[in-house]
Amino acid sequence: MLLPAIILLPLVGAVICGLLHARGGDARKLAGPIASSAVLLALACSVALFLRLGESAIVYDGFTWISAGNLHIPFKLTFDQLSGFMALIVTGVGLLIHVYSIGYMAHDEGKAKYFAYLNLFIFAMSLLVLGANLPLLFVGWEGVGAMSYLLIGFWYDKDEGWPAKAGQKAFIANRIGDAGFVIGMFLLFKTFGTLDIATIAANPTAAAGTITLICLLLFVGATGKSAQIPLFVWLPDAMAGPTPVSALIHAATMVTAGVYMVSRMSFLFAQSAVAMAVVATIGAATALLAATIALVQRDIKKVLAYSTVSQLGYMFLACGVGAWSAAIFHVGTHAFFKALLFLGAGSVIHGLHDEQDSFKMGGLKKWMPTTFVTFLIGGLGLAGFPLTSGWFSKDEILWKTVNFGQTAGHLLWGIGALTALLTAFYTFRLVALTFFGEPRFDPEKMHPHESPKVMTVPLVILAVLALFGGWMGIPPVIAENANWIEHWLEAPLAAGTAIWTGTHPHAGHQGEVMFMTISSVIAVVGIAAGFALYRRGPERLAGLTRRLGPAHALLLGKWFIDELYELFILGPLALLSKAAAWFDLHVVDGVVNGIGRSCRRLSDLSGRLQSGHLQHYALWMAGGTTVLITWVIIQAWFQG
Amino acid sequence: MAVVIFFILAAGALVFAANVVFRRNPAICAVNLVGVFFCLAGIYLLIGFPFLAALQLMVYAGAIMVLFVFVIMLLDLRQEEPRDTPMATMLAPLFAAVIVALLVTVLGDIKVSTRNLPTRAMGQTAAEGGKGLATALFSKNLLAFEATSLLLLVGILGVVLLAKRRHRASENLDAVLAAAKRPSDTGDASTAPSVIAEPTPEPDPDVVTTGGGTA
Amino acid sequence: MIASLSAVTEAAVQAGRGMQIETSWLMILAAALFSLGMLGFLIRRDLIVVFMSIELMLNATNLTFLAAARERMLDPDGQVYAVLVITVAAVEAAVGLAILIAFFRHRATLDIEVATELEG
Repeated sequence: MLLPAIILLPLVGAVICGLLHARGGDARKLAGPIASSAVLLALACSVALFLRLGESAIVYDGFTWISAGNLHIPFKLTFDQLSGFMALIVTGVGLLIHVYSIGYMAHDEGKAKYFAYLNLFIFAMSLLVLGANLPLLFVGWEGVGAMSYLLIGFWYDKDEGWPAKAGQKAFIANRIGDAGFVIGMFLLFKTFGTLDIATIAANPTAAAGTITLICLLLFVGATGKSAQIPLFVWLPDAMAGPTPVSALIHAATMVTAGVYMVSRMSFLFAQSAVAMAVVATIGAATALLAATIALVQRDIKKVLAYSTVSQLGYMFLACGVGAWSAAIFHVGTHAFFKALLFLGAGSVIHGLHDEQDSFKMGGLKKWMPTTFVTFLIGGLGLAGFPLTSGWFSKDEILWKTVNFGQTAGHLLWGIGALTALLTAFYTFRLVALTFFGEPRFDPEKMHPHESPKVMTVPLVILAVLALFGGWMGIPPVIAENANWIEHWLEAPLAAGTAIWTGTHPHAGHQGEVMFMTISSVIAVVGIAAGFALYRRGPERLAGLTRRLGPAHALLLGKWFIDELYELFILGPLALLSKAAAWFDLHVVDGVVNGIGRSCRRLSDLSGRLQSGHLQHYALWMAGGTTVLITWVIIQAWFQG
Repeated sequence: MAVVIFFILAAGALVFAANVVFRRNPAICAVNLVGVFFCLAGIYLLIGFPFLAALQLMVYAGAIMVLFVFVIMLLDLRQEEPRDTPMATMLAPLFAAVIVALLVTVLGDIKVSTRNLPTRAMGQTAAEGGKGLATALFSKNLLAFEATSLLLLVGILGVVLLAKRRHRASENLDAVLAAAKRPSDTGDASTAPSVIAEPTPEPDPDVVTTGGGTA
Repeated sequence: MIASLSAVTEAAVQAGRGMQIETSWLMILAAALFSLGMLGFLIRRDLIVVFMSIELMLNATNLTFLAAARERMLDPDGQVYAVLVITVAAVEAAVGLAILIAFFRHRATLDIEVATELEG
């Protein structure tokens, strides 16, 4: 019973918050605590099930949802090691963000609606990770997409409707991915006759081409949801929503749904080298691309958004080389430090009365100490500073990448390492610009202040997790058999790892130590460079910016990918739809209306036959008689 | 000899018929129509149907045309207005001419045939004149005869009903019309004759006593 | 055509040769009368004259009947039909004139152009 409760509790919370919103007035203040309690209870259930989890998964088999011919889809939830881990992250980080939101949204009129959406999100995300068959997973998939849309566009009146447009962009990009996902599901059902994950995992073999196609289609869905090339363009624009939303949805949970799905279906991906190669390549490419864009962004949230895209690329890189447990490990640590960074940014924005441009900040460590320290810790985690959680997980990924095939593995590792350098650089560029140097604003006018306890306490908790969360995945180099997470996730990923033949550990412990050292050096160098160059504000580098003009413009313009899409895809599409609309209006409607009009005209004409004049009628008869007589005569003449 | 008379009568019929069709004054048309009937009666006589010739004169010329003339005099009809020529007036002669031409081409054996066609004298004896006709009418064609008499009855009723002046509608019809037309009822029936006439308030002695009349 | 006409005149001259009235002549006469009647029906404006044209057409058909009956004198059916046609024509004339009178009462004219209520 606890298992469905994880899903239902946030749903109930959402309903209550919705009612509070409808009621209006002071009742809305209750929404935050109620929503947070719902998530707290869901977390409690998750923890209870987690502790109780033994060898086999905990399954809840509910009612039959769809039963049509061969298609039989029950409402079935599975709590195994993988989904349980994800559920903990979702409810745990979710709880912290709910609490934080109570403070962040305290002055907002629509806060009850906000908490309803947030709870609904938790509901959908839980359904996603706990679903035992793909349709249920997809329901959750769509649900989080819908909630993302609603929350991105939460302040839909601001900025001439920009948040609404951003929400639409997110939804449409997701939709494109979902099309691939759905087709993949169809193909899956056609091949295996079922959509139950465990059933397919038990017997996952099929024709190689079909498997590759299914994996690629499912991965298209993942690129949409998890913001990879080519569908990542929505994530930076999604920053139009409230910052806690960015933290929860676009850092910790929703965007990781793609990673979860790929890991869940590892037994399929493992069968296709092509699919794995695609996943890894796209992951690596996305990581590098996003990191380059983040180098020059001014808006705090935009830097963090591109950073998220980049880190998600790492996770897919891991999936692509068969290191699914490393990917999930990184999901966990990333949830910690990225949520922390976002919430910290929210704290900064809140303290500076909605200023988001880091070029206009500076020296905030004086006024916001807690925020500063926690943000710093998050930044260290993101950059991969030794012994932080990020260091453990990122290093694991890079190590597994090197252990992959010969040239490809090295190349991918190179990209990953370069990206790590850039990551460290831009992270501490941000830290320096925001918290160090002289304030580039007027302190008298802005009155920056620390955020209330309700916001700083979650920051602290997350900072602790970001610092020590890495200890769940200690590599064998440091301590034998201490890699808890890899061991924990063995069972659900067993099918995949058994099939996968791509990993060739080609270097032993010395190799691992060497690469670990390289990663650490990269991190430290990046941090130092970023910090040093920007410590005294952005003007110092104005000269450099000018000299690197074109490159800078390219990066600032996000490689003009949005513009390319507009030109080559959206433009023609708009033309096509205009043509279709014209066709529909003039041809289709024209035909239909034309039929009506011609009937009308015909009937008008026929009506004129009945002129009312008897002699006209008689004339017609006479004419007819003439024709008849002629006809008879002709006939007789022919026969005679 | 008979042939000559036939041609004279035929020419006469055609001339009279043309007058009927082309003259403006309806009275003149009526008289010419009588002429046609006379000529035709003569022809019937020539070809051996004396009874029918008599019938033609009695019924057509004697009854029907009298009726026509009565109506013309009753309604005091004057000269007909000429028509501006729409398509109809031009097409009609075309159709008429075409039909005649066609029929003539079909029937047009104007040559003398070798068959022996009966004459007036033979007609008297062959079908036994009126006697043969009467026997056939009441035996073989009895159904047609009875149907025709029924038709005559209905015709009489219809004529009486149609031509009656509508002061006195039936009682039921009165009530219905009164109910429908109450606000505009002026009780004035004689000046504006219309098919649905205004019912007058005066009671109708013919209709009121439906129950008391029968005994 | 011309050959036939000369034949007729020749026949007329030799009247005592026992020439007979050909059935086809009767038919032609009937056709002509019928066409005239139809013409009158179509082009006249006065309702009375239209009725008269109808009577003309009926007579033409009567003549046709009798012309045909003449070929089979032993069978009286032709005459029977002719009688019935005359009867029916009488009825029809009576009813038609009654309608005509009613129409005149309604519209005060017998112009057929006025009688257009069946339109549409």
